[in-house]
Amino acid sequence: MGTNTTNYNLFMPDEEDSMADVVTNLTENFQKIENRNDITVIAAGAALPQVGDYEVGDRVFRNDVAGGPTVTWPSNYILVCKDANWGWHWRPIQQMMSPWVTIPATVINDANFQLHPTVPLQIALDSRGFCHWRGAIRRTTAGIPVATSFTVFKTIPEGIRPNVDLMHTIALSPITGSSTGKAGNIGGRIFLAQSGASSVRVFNSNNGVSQNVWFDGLNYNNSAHWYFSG
Amino acid sequence: MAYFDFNYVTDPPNDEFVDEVGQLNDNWQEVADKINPFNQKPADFTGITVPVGTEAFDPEHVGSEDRIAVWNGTTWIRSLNHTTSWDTWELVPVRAPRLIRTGFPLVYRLNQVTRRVVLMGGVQFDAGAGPWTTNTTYEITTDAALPVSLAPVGDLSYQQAATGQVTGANQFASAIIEIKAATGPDRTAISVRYQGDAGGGNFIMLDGIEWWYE
Repeated sequence: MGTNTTNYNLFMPDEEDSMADVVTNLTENFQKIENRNDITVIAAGAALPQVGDYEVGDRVFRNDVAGGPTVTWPSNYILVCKDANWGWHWRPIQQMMSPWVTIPATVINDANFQLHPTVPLQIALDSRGFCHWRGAIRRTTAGIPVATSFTVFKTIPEGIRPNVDLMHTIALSPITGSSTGKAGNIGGRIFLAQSGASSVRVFNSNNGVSQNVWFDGLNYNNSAHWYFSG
Repeated sequence: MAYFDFNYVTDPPNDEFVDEVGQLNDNWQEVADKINPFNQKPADFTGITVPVGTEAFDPEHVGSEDRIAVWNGTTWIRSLNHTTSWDTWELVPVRAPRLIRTGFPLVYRLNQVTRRVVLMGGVQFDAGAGPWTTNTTYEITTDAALPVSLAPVGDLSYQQAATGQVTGANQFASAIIEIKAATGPDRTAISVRYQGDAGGGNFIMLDGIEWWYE
């Protein structure tokens, strides 16, 4: 009997097979190719899948209106991250920016922290290989202890984490500097590890009354494995 | 219609001989037509009835050209053409007595595709570039500077910014920038708060400040 190819499972007859079996040798192979390339089409403006029978590397197409009222664009998206705590993230191909994904509450690792109730923590990917953050988290009660690191997030998964260890300044609020106003009341910083369990840390160098941790403006290139050039 | 539109090659005895030209060869042509375009520029799309782009390929501005066609489940459509993705830089009116730092105009720019605002430029405390008062918040934009429609998602954002000074002891400090939806009148208000030693920090720079609006 013949063999099947590893990718499309196409049948390749050998010398013992009847070459008159056109259905097996030809028609079924064409049908496999055809079925393989029927992609999922997402309605214009709809959220990209956060559940379903998808694996990293799978593709969907969102049928947005070209240049529509909210400046949408029809585009393919490739699934690059599939994580229960951080959500599913799709890298856009034609569109410049993926829809923003609200990060689930289960991303919080430290019970003293929580998602901000009115400013959602969200992540989006762009077609240039960058990962963008916006929004805030907060300590459950005011007063993030000074000069202390907290593993506030669970391990950030491949697909949205940076290629190399990253440290970035972040703002804390409310802002109330020390009485002497010494330099050093500069907010906090975030550490994103490229791997490992202790992936995100917040270090408060303010004076200990802040409660909110802000991620607006945080972005980094994480395109080592997923880069679509122009 | 599926992405590949194959003939199903029929089996003897319905067809005593397979019609290679009408069925088999057309299938190979179908494969060839639909594999190629992902690697080609629009000028090469004529064979598959996709509108041909006229823009020159501009590698420095990805997205400004019609790059590749996409299959929407039914037909080919042409893809990216974000020729106006970034608007022009606009001057941000500054609330007196705060002033633009000479040589560093405070400007903002919109990307309406990604719903993003970016800032550049710097402000000084007053005409004499006096020191900012530590731990005090100053709204630096006028009431009419930025409409409330540009307020950040969640209506509030805090970010870090750099400060500089022209005289005095060396100091390395920073400022906190607050962007929020404000009322009376409705507007997007940008405020700054110097976070260094008292007496320093003549300038607060807003280069790199950015946020996303709904």
